[in-house]
Amino acid sequence: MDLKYLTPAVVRMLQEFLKDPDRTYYATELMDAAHVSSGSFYPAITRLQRAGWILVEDEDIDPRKEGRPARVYYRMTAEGAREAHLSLVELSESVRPPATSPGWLLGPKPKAV
Amino acid sequence: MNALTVTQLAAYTAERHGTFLGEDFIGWRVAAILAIIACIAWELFMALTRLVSLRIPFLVLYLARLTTPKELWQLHYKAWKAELWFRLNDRDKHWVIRFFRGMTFSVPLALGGARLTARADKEAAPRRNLIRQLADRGLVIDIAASIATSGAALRNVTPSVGAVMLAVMAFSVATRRIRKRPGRGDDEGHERKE
Repeated sequence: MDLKYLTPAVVRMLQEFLKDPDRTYYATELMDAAHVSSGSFYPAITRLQRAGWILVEDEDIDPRKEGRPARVYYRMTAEGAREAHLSLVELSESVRPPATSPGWLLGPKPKAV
Repeated sequence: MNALTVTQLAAYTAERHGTFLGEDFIGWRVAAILAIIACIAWELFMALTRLVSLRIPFLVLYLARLTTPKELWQLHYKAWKAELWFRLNDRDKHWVIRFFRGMTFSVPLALGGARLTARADKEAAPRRNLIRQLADRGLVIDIAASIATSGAALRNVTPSVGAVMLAVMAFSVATRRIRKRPGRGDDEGHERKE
């Protein structure tokens, strides 16, 4: 996936997935955990799904019997976990301050007196 | 309290002119009846409010259809509706909170989230080739038919023009055959993995 699609919302979603790649998430669960609105979540998850990083599965219930519609849950694929990790590393490298930045010479923040 | 007792109490109060907080028995009886009616009306109003307010997020979500292509709408709406249903039926939370959670879900989708989702879906789908696109839109057949008609109208058709007309006709027949066959890009991008 192109780095241009790694928006802050997508990065937070990937970080949540990578905490436990085997875990399945419902949309609301993931939106709350990653602090992402539905307007950002669904375009991002569609893109991740199309890239093959995420599997989308329908809940295995009978809606008539349960009296509610079947929800959709999301799971990261093995390839997705690997690719997402590498992409986050690449993104992290790309936003690193340059070696000439004076910030590297500054020490830790002095404690307030 | 039966009717006789009420009548007796009313008569007794009227005779003695007994009041409570400046109101006699009749006044308090009217107040009690009005209070019961007010309680019932209030409960009905709140029930109606709950009913309507928990429907509004679905209505707002449905507005997203205006910005979503039909085939993608069918695909996504099912998932969105189920998720919204879950948010609105979380019985542990007060209905006002559920309403706001529902609105925070459906408003972003209605205000562009659905359009962006459709765009993300289309970007990822494999591109269909030009001939198939033209065939689907019937443009090739229309062009061929109009050229053939105009060509027939001309009396002095040269062999080269005739050859071009034949080629166009053959092309249109070929694209019609393509049109009937499902293509590689058709609906492939919208397949849900099970």
